[in-house]
Amino acid sequence: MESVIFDILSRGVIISANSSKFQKEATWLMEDGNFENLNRTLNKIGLYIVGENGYFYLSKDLKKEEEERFFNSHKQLILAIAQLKKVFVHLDKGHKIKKSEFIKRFESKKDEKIIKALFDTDDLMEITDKLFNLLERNFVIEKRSEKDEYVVLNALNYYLDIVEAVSEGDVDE
Amino acid sequence: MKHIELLNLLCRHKKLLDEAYKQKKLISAPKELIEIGLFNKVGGYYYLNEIYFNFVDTLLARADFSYMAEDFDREIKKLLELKEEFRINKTAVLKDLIFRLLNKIYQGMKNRDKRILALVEKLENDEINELEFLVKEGKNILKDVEEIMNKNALIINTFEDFKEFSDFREFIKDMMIDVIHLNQNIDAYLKRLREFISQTERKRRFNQKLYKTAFMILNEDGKIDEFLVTKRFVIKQKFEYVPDSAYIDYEKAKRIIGKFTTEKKIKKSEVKRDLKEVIALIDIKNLLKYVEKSEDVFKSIIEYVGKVDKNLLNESVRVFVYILNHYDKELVYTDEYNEFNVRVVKWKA
Repeated sequence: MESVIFDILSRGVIISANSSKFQKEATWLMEDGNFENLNRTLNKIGLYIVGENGYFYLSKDLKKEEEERFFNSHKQLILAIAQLKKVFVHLDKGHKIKKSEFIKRFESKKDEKIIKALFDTDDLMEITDKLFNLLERNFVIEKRSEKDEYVVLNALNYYLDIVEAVSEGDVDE
Repeated sequence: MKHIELLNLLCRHKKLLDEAYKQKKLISAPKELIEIGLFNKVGGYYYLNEIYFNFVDTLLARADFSYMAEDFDREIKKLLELKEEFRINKTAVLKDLIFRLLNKIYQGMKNRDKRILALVEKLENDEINELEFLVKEGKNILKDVEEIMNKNALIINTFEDFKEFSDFREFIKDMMIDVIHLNQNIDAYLKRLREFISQTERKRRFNQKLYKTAFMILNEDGKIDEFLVTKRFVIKQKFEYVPDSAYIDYEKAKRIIGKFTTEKKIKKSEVKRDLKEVIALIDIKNLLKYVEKSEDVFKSIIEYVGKVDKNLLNESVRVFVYILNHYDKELVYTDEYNEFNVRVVKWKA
């Protein structure tokens, strides 16, 4: 199981405990002993598993030249989540959302600047597909068997925690 | 028109009434329904009479944000007047009037209960409206319900007063069981509303933070990058590292991981102690004194725990993590590792 999990995590996947796709892996990682053993091994090569708030990811120290790429990918996701939360104001991990519902509400909740920064299109269907794909690709949402339904994964909080921390820093200033 | 004829008339137009109930207004309405006042024409549209909405919404336990709960002030005032009259002159007409008024208030309270519940549920289940709006509505409803709670005390006292007359005693007794129950419901709605408001406020504040951060990103505000690389952020959020395969020396890692891919025999371990229990057993205050100014907090924990109880030694990692989580600000994270392969964390000098 260690190698399977390492294989998945090393692709940059954030494994959420409420994911159906990675249910086995999440269950395995939630065992303290398993987590600690794998983490100890990975520490030797400068890698770490971070497990918090019901999700796990593999990580490493950032080098200066890597920062820009790190921030850019995260910034994109924060923007996408901000737009999603404008449409689904109560959005939280574990919630189920539908593309069709997003399309229905989008026009009145659209943030022009965010959409312009993220996607090079004005087409509603294209924007919806691209936004959902971006979030799915980054393990924030996961498609359920029902055609139109997605579940919000615990990994959402990975990005929301960044927002929380940035804001706290702001308050302290 | 007789009641049965009215029912027949409504039945004949049930589809149209259903449409009018859903859409609130129609371009045209049947003459016979206009004549009895079920539809009123305002500004080119035909609106269903409010009494119809009240009737249907009460029976179906529905409420929208325009619903305003009755407080029965006027009825209670009238009832008090009648009570004084009845004391002097116990006529059948007065008695009937009092019965009808008591019943009206009682039934009204039951109807009001259904609609307040519907209103609270509507708020709680609302997924579309802006959070600011929901908080504002929630606060308005809370204010109304608080007032109802206060006024209910007066209603209950007034009802109780009627027990002095044998004519009403049994009726009041029967009603009071329900009225007290309805009052308890109001108390429960108050709690739900307060909880809803505080949760929604929390969500609203968080969403504002998110939109503000998004705004900073859009404006290429350097503060975000600056903040993300600060030590403070790193320690607090434990985002020291990045989940991106591009940065991982995959082959190197796989060589090391490979050693662990064979199946291991796992010993059945003892049932883990609850962390709280462990913390209590080791006496956290003394531990804190011991690790203060330590050059390697983990090693100090092992030393200390070993002295307290050797059986607790295998809990050292959890205690260490507890310290990291609770005393973050006191700690300095170095890049070194000790012989236990645990990062060397110092207590701030």
